[in-house]
Amino acid sequence: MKTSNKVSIFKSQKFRNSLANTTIYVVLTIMSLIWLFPVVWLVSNAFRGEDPGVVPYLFPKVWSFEPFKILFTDRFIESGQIKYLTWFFNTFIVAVFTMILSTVVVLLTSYAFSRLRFKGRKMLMKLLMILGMFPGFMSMIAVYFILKGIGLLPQSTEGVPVSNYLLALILVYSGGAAMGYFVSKGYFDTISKSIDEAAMIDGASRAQIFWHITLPLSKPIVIYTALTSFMGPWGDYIFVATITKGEQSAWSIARGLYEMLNGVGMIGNYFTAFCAGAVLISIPIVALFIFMQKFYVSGITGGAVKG
Amino acid sequence: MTNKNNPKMPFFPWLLEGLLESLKRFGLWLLEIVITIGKAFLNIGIFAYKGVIAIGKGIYRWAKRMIETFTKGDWKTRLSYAVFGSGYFLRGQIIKGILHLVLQVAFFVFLLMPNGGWFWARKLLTLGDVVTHVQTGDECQLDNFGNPVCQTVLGDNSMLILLYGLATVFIALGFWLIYNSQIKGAYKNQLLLKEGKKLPNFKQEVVELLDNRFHVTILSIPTVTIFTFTVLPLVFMILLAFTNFNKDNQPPGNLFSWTGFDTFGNLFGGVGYSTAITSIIQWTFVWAFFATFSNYIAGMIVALMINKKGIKLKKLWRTVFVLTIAIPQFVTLMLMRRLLDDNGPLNAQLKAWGWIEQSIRFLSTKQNARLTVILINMWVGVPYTMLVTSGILMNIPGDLYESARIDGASPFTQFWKITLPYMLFVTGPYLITAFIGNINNFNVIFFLTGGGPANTATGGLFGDTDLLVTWLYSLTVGGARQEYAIGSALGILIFIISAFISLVLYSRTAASQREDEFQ
Repeated sequence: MKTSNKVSIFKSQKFRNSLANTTIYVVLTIMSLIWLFPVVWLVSNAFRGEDPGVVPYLFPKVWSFEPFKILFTDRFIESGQIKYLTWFFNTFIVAVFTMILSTVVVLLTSYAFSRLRFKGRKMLMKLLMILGMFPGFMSMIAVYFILKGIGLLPQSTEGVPVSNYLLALILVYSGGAAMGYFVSKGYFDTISKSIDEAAMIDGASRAQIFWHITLPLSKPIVIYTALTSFMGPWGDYIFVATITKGEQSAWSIARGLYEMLNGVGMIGNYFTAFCAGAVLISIPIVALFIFMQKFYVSGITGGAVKG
Repeated sequence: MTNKNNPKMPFFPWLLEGLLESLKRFGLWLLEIVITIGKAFLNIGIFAYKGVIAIGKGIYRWAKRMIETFTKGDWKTRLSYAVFGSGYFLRGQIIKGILHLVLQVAFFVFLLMPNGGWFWARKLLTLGDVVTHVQTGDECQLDNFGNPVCQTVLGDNSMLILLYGLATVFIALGFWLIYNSQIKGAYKNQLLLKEGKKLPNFKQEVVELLDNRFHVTILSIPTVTIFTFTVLPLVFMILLAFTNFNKDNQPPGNLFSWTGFDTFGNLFGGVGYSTAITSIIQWTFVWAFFATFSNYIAGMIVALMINKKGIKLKKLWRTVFVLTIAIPQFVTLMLMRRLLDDNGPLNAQLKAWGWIEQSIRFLSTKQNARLTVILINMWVGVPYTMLVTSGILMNIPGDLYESARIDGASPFTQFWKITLPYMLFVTGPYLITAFIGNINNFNVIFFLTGGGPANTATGGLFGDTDLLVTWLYSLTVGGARQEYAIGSALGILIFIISAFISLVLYSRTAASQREDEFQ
């Protein structure tokens, strides 16, 4: 007895599957185009030769390196307002030191919360969570005056060396870093405690356990923390704007790029240069990010999600 | 025999039905939330009441303990009530004791030096009485010729008084904590000696700090920095909400003073402010909801699509999306703003191609701007959510699906009964954080629209895409209004909203209570 398998070809499993797959490919392609379009537009503008401002059409007519030249020589305004290289170095220095300090602080803090048990631990964690709920820059104005009070920022019209501003930024970024402890803490939580206990039986102190056992096991999260704290200062606009105000030599790359588009009378001359500058800083960040993608996924899902 | 759930459903109706089901469940879940909110109000009231009582009890117990320790203490312990560290260096712990003594001296130096702690703190209650002014009449000194020389006298600076005075209060608090701790330590030493035990010397204490008391060593520096750069500024800004600090009452020319809850009244009732506040709060929530869930669902769908068996080039698709994350957010947002401008390239090009006659006003009308902002936010956020959900999807144990398939479940049922509950459970906290984050999502709105288009009804007091945070910015630092006091009141409101929502949402998510189960 033959069971009738006369199912129409349109309802067969295999056809349904390939239909679904084809639809998915189409959707993904369209989405990729949409997602890549602004990137393409940015890059194409960075190589646009004809007009340094915004033009009423999408694709460049003349391809050249002109925008990059403008970026590094600033031939429009003699006062040397576009200090791209200075901004780049400022941000780089701030990023490196912030990375070092923040990583140390965050890892130690999350270790304390994850591994050590002491009175007030839960209360401290709740307190930090509550502190994090205030809008970030509500404290910025006060921080500005605190920094003035301890002498880092100029009290009067006299200037201070650029290094003061950079130091101020490093302090501010690293100072609040401990509040971002929960991702690393979540990761430490997943390391089995029996290793710690075995080491303690052998007579190791907690500090030794941290340094010799926990850290080597946590390479992904260390890298994740280091890279995120490195990438932070590159994108920050508000803090830098508040602290450095008009002192252009102390600006970060974000502040400078913002000025190129929004400063009075600037966009007509600097739009393509803006795109060029944006492309330049995006390259190292993209590289870092792709490298970090592995650690990012395991860090986010291993840490934050499990609470 | 046919399966319960129709396995012959093609892809898209299946997706639609799944979404509808999810919406239904979501509605029920929302109802539970409303009930929880009611309970939360009640709980807050009870909590506040208990808190006050607890503080009262705490003070009483502290006083009792201090008196007890004094009566039971010998002369060395009693001396520590006046001289820091006596309980230590008089019993052989020289270094520890001297350290405490140095701290005590340092504190008093700080307090009493010119321009020191007391100089600022004493004026906290009035926030200054002397305005910067030019001397008149008899105040003027006479120069060598007998002519009056009237100088400008620098008056009090209300802001610095508040700031430095507050800093002094905090430092005094720290001092008080150390005071208590060394008294306790002195008494503990006394008891130890009585039992015949030896007191740890300095070297042993250091070893302790690296072992059982490691947390003290680790957390000490972050505590100080967080206090200086987070807590102190926050308290300062909170206190500002109770003053009248704005453009007209600004140092160094003028003073501002305490005004109680007046500023809050202005925030909610002032001309234009009442419209502004209600409109902005509504939009903030609408925005946060759509921004969070559009990104989450879209990200999950994309992740599912890429992860599906039989789809090739998985890495390629993922890289495309990840590439867009790597470009700094402010760059892409500023770019989009120019691109979508009424006179910008996109409109111009579309006109040139004959697709449209008049510019599409992406960002210049209220409804359009709001829609555009949500869409652009998806462009920014979907790669993230795709990555996050991707990682979790891969962690779902495959045998769950296997057994479901053997039992004859369709892909729809599998998604509905396995994938979705698992995702919601694991990403619960993430969603809450994302929701609250979007309430305060300054960057996207600020760089895309600056909060605009400006609301004409209130004369530009706020913009139609303004969130509470962006409005805060334009009220204080960003614009010419300089309404710092109102800004602070607004900031407090934002905090209350965020904190309240967190409380409500967290208490409904099981995951947050399972911290120790994972260890």
